[in-house]
Amino acid sequence: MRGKWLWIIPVVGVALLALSLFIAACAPATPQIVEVTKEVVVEKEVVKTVVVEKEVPVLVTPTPEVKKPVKIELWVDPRFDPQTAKGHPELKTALDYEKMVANDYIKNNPHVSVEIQVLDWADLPKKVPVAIAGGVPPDILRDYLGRTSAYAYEGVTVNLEEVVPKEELADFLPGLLELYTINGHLHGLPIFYWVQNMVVNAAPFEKAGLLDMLSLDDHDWTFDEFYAAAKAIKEANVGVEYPLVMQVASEQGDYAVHAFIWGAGSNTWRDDCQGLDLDNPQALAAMEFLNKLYKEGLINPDVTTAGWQDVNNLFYAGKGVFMGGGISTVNVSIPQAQKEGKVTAPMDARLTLYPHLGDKPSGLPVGPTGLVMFQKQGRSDYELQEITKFLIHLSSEKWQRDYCISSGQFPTRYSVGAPLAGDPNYELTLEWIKKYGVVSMGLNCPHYYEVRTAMPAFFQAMFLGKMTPQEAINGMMKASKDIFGK
Amino acid sequence: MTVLAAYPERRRTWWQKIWDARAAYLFILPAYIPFIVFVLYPLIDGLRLSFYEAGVNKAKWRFIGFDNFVRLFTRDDVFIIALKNTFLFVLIVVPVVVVISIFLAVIVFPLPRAAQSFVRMSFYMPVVSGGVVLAMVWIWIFNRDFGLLNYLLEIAGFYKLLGIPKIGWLAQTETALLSLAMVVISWSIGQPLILFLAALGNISEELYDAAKIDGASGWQIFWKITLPLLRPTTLFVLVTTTINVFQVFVVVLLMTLGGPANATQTIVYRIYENAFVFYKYGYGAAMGVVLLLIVGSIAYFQFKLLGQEVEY
Repeated sequence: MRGKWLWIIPVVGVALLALSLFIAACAPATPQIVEVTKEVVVEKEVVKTVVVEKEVPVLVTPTPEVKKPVKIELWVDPRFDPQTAKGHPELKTALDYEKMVANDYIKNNPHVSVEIQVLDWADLPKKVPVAIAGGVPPDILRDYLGRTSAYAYEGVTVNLEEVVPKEELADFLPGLLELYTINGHLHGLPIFYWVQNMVVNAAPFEKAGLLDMLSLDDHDWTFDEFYAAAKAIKEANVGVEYPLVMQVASEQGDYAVHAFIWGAGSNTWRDDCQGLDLDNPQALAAMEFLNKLYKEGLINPDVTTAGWQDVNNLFYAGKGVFMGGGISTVNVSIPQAQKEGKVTAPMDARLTLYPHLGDKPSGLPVGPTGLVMFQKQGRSDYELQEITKFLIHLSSEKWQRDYCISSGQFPTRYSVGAPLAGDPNYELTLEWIKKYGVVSMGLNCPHYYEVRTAMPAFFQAMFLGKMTPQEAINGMMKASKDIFGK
Repeated sequence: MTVLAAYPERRRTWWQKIWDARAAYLFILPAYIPFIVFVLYPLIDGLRLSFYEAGVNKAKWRFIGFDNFVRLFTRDDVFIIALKNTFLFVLIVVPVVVVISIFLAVIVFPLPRAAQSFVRMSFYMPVVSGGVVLAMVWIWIFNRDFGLLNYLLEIAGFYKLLGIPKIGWLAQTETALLSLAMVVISWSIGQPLILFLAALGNISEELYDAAKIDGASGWQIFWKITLPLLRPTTLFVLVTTTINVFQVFVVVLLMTLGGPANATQTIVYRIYENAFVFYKYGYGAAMGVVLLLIVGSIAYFQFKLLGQEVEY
């Protein structure tokens, strides 16, 4: 008799398992997601909140217009941590910064609630596409053009020229809006951009009496002059082992390599964005120059596997004196490293231009970050309107100015002017952009990231002597053609 | 004619047989539900996805038949390199792991319990530490300028003796894959060691006594008695280690990113790149199907070769 009812035990077990799975599935979101509106509600007057959240009878005095609540999901990069956002000492985390910006909007729009996720750099390229593919993208994403352009090519972004008023768009720099226009549609709003230069530690040169070799008066130096300076500082016995520190372990180090290609007078991408454009004598000359630097020990020997921190460590330790960087490197990263005791060599970090092969320096690479809005099933016109207004707030003159001061980057609106005016590095970089223009990095080209990721293997092979510079170029061109299906 | 033969057995249908064993099926259901949800369903859906051009925009997914597979073998040079590297990696790691764990088990087995426990714990610690932690430690061990390995080799006069500069273990194509193999071997020995120790405990002492009486040497005892009787365990270790090593990923992601110059590019890393970096889910799924067929075939042949029972 007892054995007959034995099957009840596993049935109960399965039921308990199903119940626990159900409870787990219905559990609230992880603590990483913050409902900003809760903070606002605490700070705001209760009466106002009650008016918004509960439908109350008409009062004797006329009530303000009650708008339907809207919840906006905003995902951002972790750019504005307390180290970078120096104008806000009260902030503890990057999330605090984003909450501050959102609260500034909500105080005048209490019907809006904003759910913010600050993704780390490693998560950005993974979590967002998975969310899109799963049908649960954020409403607004702040990310780099190189990634948002891929979303635009997939057709998952809202065409902003259809929702953002023309008078708003008129305030943006046309060149940047053009960068963000893909297949005839504006897929994002640029909100700030960085400029890549070369950072040089002038201290060892001064110690060795070689400061004049750096061309710091006009920042206009040729490949040969750069080579001479690198060789001289290595031989001067002041602790410099590998004058030029860089990394080609991943695609993240590519701009430092491409800077020499641009300096030699070549593009990296074709003007029609249909692949790489390295099959020319100028690109070959740049690759041969880099190869020569490596073979003569003027580039760090772990260039094929070093990470960003390794490159920085070599620079901070005075083993290297040239590395890629920009205003934020000189104004923020290096001073922060000095404060943390990571800089162990005498340091006099200056911005300069990469050397060139032709008659003048090349244009500067410019990398914008922007805001994109994703398409979402079931979103009403009203919600679209509200999200657009919040997007415009995030890219407003006030906050762009703050972004630029906090991160050492450049604004994208005319009305912002020059937030870092007076900063010599800022003025210098602006002057260079006006004089030499900008180069195309292919950020808004189709398959940009795939091509970009394919390239480091060939730089590595060249440095390790497995390929000649020409073979490396041929390999990259073939990889590019394969990716484009040609 | 017996009494039983007068009553022929009633034929039962398959669902009747399942109903008879319903308690047993219900007992294993809690384990099978997660298996179906997290393994079987994704496997079947991945197979389906491999025939699609599938990116982040589901509305743009389209059926392309075998195009992904054709592209893999005709236009993706990096995948071919990844295939070769993965096979080479398996050929290096699997025999070393099996041989070392058998060797260690045979040496450790006769030791006192305390010593056995110490050795078991030492080799099993990497297994429980997790690949990420170990990879981070090994990155520093292999560091060219500050790493422990080069420091010890310098003290031992290795570089001076050979007259060569310091080796960047992860930075050179000749040494990168071997360095990763060393890392994977270090954390793969623990589990087989435990299994072999347990299997050695099941071999009857009488067989060894009989062999000694017959004048067999230590080597003969090992080769003719111990090893054949360890065959079932060896087969299990071989198959599971092969499957695990074919799926090498963590060390590549954390230590070399497939470089230098694709020297450590592997199939699973290539799947990861295509699916999660380039958003080509269908193409990544096709690579997964290829990996499944390779691993499945190898496991089948291993069973065929080593699957015979041994009896004394």
